[in-house]
Amino acid sequence: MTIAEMSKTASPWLGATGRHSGAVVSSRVRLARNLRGIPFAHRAAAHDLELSMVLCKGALEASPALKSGTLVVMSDLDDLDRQFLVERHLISQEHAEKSPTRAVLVANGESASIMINEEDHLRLQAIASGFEVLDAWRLLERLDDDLDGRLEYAFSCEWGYLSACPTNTGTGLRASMLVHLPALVLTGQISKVLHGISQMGLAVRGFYGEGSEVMGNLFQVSNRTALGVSELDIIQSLEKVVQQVLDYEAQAGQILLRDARSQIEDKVWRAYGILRHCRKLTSQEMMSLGSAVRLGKSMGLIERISAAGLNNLLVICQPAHLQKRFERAMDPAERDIVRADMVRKIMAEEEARTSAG
Amino acid sequence: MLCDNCGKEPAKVHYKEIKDDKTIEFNLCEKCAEEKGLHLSPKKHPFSISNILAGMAEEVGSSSAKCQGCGLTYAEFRETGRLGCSECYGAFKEQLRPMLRRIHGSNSHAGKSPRSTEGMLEKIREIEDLKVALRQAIEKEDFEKAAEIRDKIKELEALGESGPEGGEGTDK
Repeated sequence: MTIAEMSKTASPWLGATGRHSGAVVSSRVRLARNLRGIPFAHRAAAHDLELSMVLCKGALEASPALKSGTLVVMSDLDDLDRQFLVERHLISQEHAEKSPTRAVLVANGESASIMINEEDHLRLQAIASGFEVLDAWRLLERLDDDLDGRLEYAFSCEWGYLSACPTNTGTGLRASMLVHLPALVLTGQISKVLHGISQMGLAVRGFYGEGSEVMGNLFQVSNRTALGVSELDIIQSLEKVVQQVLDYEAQAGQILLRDARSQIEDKVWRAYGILRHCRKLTSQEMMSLGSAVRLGKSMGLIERISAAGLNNLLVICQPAHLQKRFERAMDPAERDIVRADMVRKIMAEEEARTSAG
Repeated sequence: MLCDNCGKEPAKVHYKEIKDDKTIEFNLCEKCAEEKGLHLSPKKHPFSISNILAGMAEEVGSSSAKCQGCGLTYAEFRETGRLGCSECYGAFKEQLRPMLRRIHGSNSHAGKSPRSTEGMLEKIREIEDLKVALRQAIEKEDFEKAAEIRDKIKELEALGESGPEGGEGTDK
């Protein structure tokens, strides 16, 4: 699949097919792997990076599980295409550098991606829709097993898979879920819940990576430790904590409906009205209005849009996606107009579909 | 191994010091060690045999330590928080051990392993057990037993280094 083809379709993991997909957008797992005898990417000389690239590329291409994948080298892409891959969650922002020794392989219809020469020589990732972190892990484990033996990894019996950053050493696994918690934010309980999550040994952060502010009431909950615990234990404890958080969110939703029903209904329908009819829309506003509509959806107040439709807005209205779709560079002001057009169109389609069905 | 000093008696005291990127190492018999001021009784001198034997199990770290694999110094690692290569894990083992425990609350891998390292884990566990026994023997001042255990550890570690996948980054 080429990038041009990707830009015309939604990522399959946005399909809201998994469990609890009203509140959980996606589940993601990644493994950090390094080659033995080659310095880690940040300390590697150009020839080391070339070597690691050749070895990794060879192994990925020889792997039957990855046969259908597409490998792209970062230096073969322009700025827009690299940013597009970031928005699509297929590469990290750090990886989006115009470099001949950085690459990504996208496979399984975008549910798997493998970065070569990111912070670690290999970063394997799998994404699934909804509360399906175990499914994502099953896919990732299969890819990892398939690559095992094709590459000689830096591994210590004592400390497991050795990583550039000691926080990843051990299993090299980071498992996360992207959850939508508007009721906890509205009832002012969110900081207590976030504190509780960190007390349980997990990390929480806002939608787009470290340090960013939390947009659209979306939080990423992930494991913090990778050594001394098995992969399945990491996944199970994440599931357990997220399930608990979802219960709290549902309770907070009930309290809102009981004590402030008209305010909530007003908030949801006003948000819907703006998204359905606006002529200019910034991404931040879209995130926040989309969150209100999603809240209405999870409370059963609104049926005119699907969870998949709401998920889709999160991705396709980002700057690189808009520019890729319309095949031209746009300044922020023009993007706001085009974004409003796109959102109105999607909302109209969703409305037609949900009323017909 | 015979004493570095007299070359007659078996070396029982093994001393290693890292100073300004240089490693000073000597192996002495008990008599020569006494003469050099490395006292055997733990009460007489802080630089006692118990400290030295304990150092065998857990070498004392140094901030000037440097990785032979990629040349990264421990000071540089502290600045960036990133290790340079897999060999760094061996070079900074002593500093990393408490750090990894702080980060992860654990010091030993419990997840999956590459197929090629199957069977190695049991050996590593055995070495870990022996190290505990070594410490206990030292605490009881049973130095004869301690030396015996130490030799066993060395033997197992030597096997690991020549075997496939070795104890990469663990015990070097």
